[in-house]
Order: sequence, then C-alpha cells, then structure tokens
Amino acid sequence: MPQVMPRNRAVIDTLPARGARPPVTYRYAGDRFLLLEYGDMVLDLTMNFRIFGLNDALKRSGVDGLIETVPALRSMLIQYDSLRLPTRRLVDTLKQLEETIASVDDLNIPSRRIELPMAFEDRWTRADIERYVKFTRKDAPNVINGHNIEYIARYNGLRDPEEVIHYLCATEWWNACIGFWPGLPFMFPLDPRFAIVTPKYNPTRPWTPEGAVGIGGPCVAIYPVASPGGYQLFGRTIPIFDLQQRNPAFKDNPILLKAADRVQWVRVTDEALEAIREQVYAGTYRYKIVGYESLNVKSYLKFLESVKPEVAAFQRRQAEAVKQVAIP
Amino acid sequence: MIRILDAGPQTTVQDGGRLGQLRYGIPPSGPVDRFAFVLANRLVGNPDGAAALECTLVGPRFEVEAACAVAVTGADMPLSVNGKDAPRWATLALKVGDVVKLGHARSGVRGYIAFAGGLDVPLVMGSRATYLRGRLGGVEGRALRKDDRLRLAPAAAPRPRRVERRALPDYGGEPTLRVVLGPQADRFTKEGLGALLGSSYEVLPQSDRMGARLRGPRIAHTRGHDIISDGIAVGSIQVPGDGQPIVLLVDRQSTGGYTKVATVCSFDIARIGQARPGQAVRFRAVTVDEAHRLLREWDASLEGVMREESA
Repeated sequence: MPQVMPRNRAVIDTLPARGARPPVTYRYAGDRFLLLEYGDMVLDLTMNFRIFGLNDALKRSGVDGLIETVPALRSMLIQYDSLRLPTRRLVDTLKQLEETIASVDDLNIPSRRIELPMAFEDRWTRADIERYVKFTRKDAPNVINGHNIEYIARYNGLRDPEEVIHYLCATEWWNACIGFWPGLPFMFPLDPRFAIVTPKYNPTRPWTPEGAVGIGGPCVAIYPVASPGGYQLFGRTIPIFDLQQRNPAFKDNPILLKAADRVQWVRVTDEALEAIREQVYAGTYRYKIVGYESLNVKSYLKFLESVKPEVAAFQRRQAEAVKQVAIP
Repeated sequence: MIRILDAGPQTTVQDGGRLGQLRYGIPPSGPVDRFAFVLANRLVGNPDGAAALECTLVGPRFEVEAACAVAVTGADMPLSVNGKDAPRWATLALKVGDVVKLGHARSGVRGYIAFAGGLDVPLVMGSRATYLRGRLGGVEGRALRKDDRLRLAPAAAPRPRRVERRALPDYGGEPTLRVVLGPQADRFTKEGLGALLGSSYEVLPQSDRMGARLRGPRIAHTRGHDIISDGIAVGSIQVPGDGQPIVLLVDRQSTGGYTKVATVCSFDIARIGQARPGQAVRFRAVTVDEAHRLLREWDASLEGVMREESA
C-alpha cells in the first residue's frame, strides 16, 4: 500500500542563531521523547556548556509533564508525558527558555574538580592488550611494545610515552556527559593545547579491566566495569562505579562522576594504585573532590582565544605525524 | 516463597522500570511487553509496576512453597499446574507443593508471571528490574537459575478474574509497527526511507532486551552513519553503516553515535518485542499527533478488559 510521506521528516521546529546564541533544532524522537540540538554536527564544548544552562533552566521552569532529560555533548534528549504536555507546548516552552538563559559567555557552570590517581601504562591494561594481540589481532598496529601508549605518542607526533603522560596530566578533563554504560564519562580536555586524538581499535577489544582509561577520537573515557571496548588504553585509575557502595563516595549514588565534573590525573605507580584500590573497597580512602567551584565560560573563552596559535601549531604537528602511522 | 526447578533460557525479575537514571547511563529495563505485564499484575491485585517474572521463548518450572495467587500472560506458552492444563490470562490460586510449568511459546517471545504481593528482591537504584548487561537489579543482576528461591511480599488473596478473549493480543502474522520519523530521518536517502516504509524486515535471532535486530532492504544514508553521540529514546531505529535497522528496547545503551531514522511508538514496543526470530515486521509512519491519539487509545485498552470469574 503506497504511503504518503509526511513532508517534515525529522524536524519539529528550529530557532535561528541570534547574536552569540547558536541555532537550535527540535527533532522528533517518537511519541514520548524529543531531541534538542545546538549548532552543527561538530565538537564544540561551548555547545555543551549551553546544554547545561538550558537543562538547569528547564528544571527550574517547573513545566508540568517533564519526566527526564539526558544531556549529551551538543544535544539533549527529553522524555515527557505527552498526554499531559503536548509536544507543541514543550517546544514553545523550550524556545521561550532560550530567550531567558544567559548567553554562553555569561554562564557560570557549577563544576566539581576530582583528582584521580592514575597508573600510566599499568600492568592490568597491559595484560588485556597482550591478550588482544594473542587472540584477536596479531598485527594490530596500535599495539607497540605490548601497549597502546607508544602508538598514541606516534599518532600525535609526541616523542615518547613520557610526553603523552605529560600532555594527559597538563589539562583538566571536562566530563561532557555520561552515557553508553552505567556511569561512563565522556571527557574532553579543557586546555586544547594538549588535545591528543586517536583512532579506535579495529576490531574492538573483547576485554578491558575495570578502571581502565582510554582515548577514542578526542574523547577520554573511564571503563566503569570490565567490558569490551574500542579506545586506546593509557592507564588505570580507581573505581568510579560501585553498586555495593563500599566507599562513602558511593553512599548517595553508585556513580561517582557527574556531567560537568572536571577530572585531573595524578600519576602513581602500579603498587600505589593497588594499595589505594584496596583502601577504596575497605571504605578508608577519601576521594579527592573539590566541591562546587564554577566554570566561568567568559574567562574560559578568553583563555581559548589566547592559546589559539599554540593549538594550531600542535594540530600541524599532529597532521604531519598521522601520515607516518598505520591506522588499525 | 517459590523455588525454581528449571529456569528456562532467560527468566528475569522485572518491575515498572528504573526510571530517571538514563542521564547516568542506566536504562529503564522493565518489561518489553508492558501490556501483558500490567494485566498480569492486575489479575493478582498488584499495582501495575509490581515485580514479576519475564521469561523468554520457554518458560520456567517452579514449585510453590506457600499458598499464593499467580497470573500468566504474554507469549502463548502452554501452562500447566501439577501436569494439568491451566488457563492463561486468568487468576490462579495455588497451594503449597503445586508445580507450575510454562512450555515453549507457540507464538510471541516473552511471557509474564505475576504473583500476588509481587516478588520481594532488593531495590537497586529505586527498582527491582534486572538489567542483565549491567549486572544489576533482580536476583544478583542475572537471569534466574535452578534452585533460586524467591520471596513474595505479603498480600491478600485477590478475587479471581480473567482477561476477556476480545482483548487478548495476537502475536502472530506480520505486525505493522507505527513509527514517528526522526530524529535523523533527514540523514537518509528517499530510497532508504522508501525501503523502511515499504518493505518487510525479518527479526534476527541475535535480538534481545537491548534491541531487536532486523534484516531487509538496505536503508541508505545520505552522508555517513556517524553522528556526535546523543541520547536514545526507547524504540529508536538505529541504522549503522550496513543499512540494517536495530530497534532499541528497554535495556538499550543511553547514548549512541549512529543515525536513527525513526522511533517505534511506545504502544508498539510490545509488538516488536513479541515478534519471533524469523517473523517479519513492517513499519508505517504516523504524525506525532496521530501517535498521541493512538497512545490515548492504548492507555484506554488496558481498562475494562477483566471480568470476574463465575463460580
């Protein structure tokens, strides 16, 4: 039976850019969800900052029939009770909120700083990487000397694993959103001078230890539980997800990292990490969390402007390096 | 208390779902077929979201260790008590020592067994639902095994009722699932959308509570299948590079980086969830206004379908 194709296939409504405000697109996601997007399909942390501003404004608006929001990098999925809150009214509310929230420059985003101990090139990730070479792909170009960190160095034009570690520790990592797996953070460097990138595993790795940390594209993730994975691993940290809530850090929620948290790596040895992990489960370790400071977007944007030449120089170095490196 | 004698291939505890945790990467879980689940609970006098069992293709065999009332709904699994046929979609009063068995589903995939009072397993993040991939909820985050014993919350004996024959769902044939196009329908070619809405797609055996994997004519993209990850609604039809659709269900990942061509309406999730491997399904696009009218009808279809059993 021939069907009439609805003319407007995906988009409910749009709001054009105005001044510093990016364009907004409101999209259908079935009879109970709506997807809102800022700007274009590119990675831009300022879009992520604005998502937090909107999410906050939406919660405070007290609109009746809102069930849940899922903030992502540049988009937000909104679940609503469509029999109480008609789609049109939700879209109109969202459009009105755009007029009331501060422009990105004026946003102050509440954000915690969390210091996590990290054993770089540790023996646990090494064991699973070696297993991958043995059982999954013998000629994996992303495994050099039994680990991924040398490959990360070569792919970015860095001297050696030591310089990779220096880059990873030189910036705070912005948790743009949680997704894909319970408590898994998607983190991006706040200082773009140290923005390393990598391709992903091919095929994916069947094993990754809990607490392993890796990078895929520009994004760093911590694996909350042992699982398959595709990111290039560079180290292991302490638990960020514990359903048994064995540490006070998990008392209110088995998930440690929240969106808009900032993570700083603190280098430790394998032995020190092992000892801290035991203290975590014994309940005696205190996670190093600096509670709410706020990220002032205006001064952050000013900082971005000031480092532009250095960022461009590093990107040229990366572009040259990539030519010499095999892709998995 | 009930004791599992034979668990079947995948029997899990589910309740109304773990809501409000998607932003932490935790899916709602809960029953794939909410219609059958809710009616099973109502037949034993429970609230709609009480914890019950969901079984898959083959049901469990269990022994009742204290008198209780149960109701079995969902997939057409032959039901017996102590070896004698018993009615499905009806309240059954059981006594100590009774052995209940659900056989191989003749149509449909997922069967539901509700117990008066509901299953008393620990709450994890506000819910008793099992999320298998995340190993949380239910019984130790896993499917049931032989010799598991499940406690029931205390409850008064419900008055026996049954669901009227006219209200029973038909899980066979080639169901047409209503979809709202989007969020990324504009990333597909006209031919690709034509394939989605004009062809039938076969359910593959790799389907599970995370997603129903389908095979059929390619749903072609205009410019690549990768997007910057965004949140995933239940029912999202994700189309990776091979052009073959996956309908994401209650245990789906919370975010993903593949384009999603359309979203199966909430009231048709049960129908894709009850389609068996090898069975074909079709898709029909509706406007969001039409979807909301159908949703209202679906809500109403749960009411006034139970009758008191005559003595």
